[in-house]
Amino acid sequence: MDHMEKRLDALWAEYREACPDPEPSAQFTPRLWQRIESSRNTRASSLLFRRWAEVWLVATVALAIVMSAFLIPRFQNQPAYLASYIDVLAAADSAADSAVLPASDTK
Amino acid sequence: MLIEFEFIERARHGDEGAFNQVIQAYRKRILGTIGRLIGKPEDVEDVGQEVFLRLYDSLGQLRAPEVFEPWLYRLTVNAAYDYLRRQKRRRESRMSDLSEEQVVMADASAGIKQSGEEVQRSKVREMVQSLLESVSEEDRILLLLKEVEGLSLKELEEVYKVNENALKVRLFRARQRVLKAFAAREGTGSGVR
Repeated sequence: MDHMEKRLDALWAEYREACPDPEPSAQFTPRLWQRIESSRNTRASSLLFRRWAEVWLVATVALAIVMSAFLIPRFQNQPAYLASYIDVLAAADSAADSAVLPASDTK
Repeated sequence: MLIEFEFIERARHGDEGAFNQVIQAYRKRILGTIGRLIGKPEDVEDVGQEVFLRLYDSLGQLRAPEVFEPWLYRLTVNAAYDYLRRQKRRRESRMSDLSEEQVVMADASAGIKQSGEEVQRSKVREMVQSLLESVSEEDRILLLLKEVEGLSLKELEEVYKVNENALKVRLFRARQRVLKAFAAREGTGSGVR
């Protein structure tokens, strides 16, 4: 097995020699910079979109707060039912009486 | 180090001229490493560009220029993994489209162009590639980094972010598997020589 270990080590070295470092093509660096540029542009536009989304979100939240600040106190000062149920019935009753009586009777 | 720390420091802070110097200094070595890791010379430049693109995007996160090389190797290893995974998926679908006869013919026509020394080199490459099939993709890359690229355990520790003992165990097991495959191959007489 020791012999095999040595042969394997020799094979690794042969593999290293069989696959030398290749010379980069003339287009390698320019193409790389093109890719960097396009990824930078993509990132910049997605950043811009994110900023816009953030601005709209903040504006929406601010509007919601302002509307609540104006509307909530108004609703609190104007409760829907000021009169009691009895008052409402009495008012409705008197209105009905005056409508039923003829005009001469009211004098 | 193939470049002075000063260039890395400047590149980290967004100096494109310095980054260009880093590319010039490391591109050949990185392309060589990628070639040996993926075993496909025609795709080496694409993967190499991916490595430098990732480097450009992540250089700002580098702690110190001293750990630049392990950092670059880490990016190289990750790009090689990604490539091999993509290739595996593509190969599976492509091979299912070809008949066995077509595959044999394609291999034969590729062999016609080779001669002499190149035949021997090609045999070595094929042999190593086939021996490495006896281990997982992760172990294959780890073994190549150690045995072929000559990275020390300390450097591998930086690349993989795992402790030295865990790496030793993984390397030992992977090497034993390759050794077993090698012995079996030599036993059947299908070695390089």
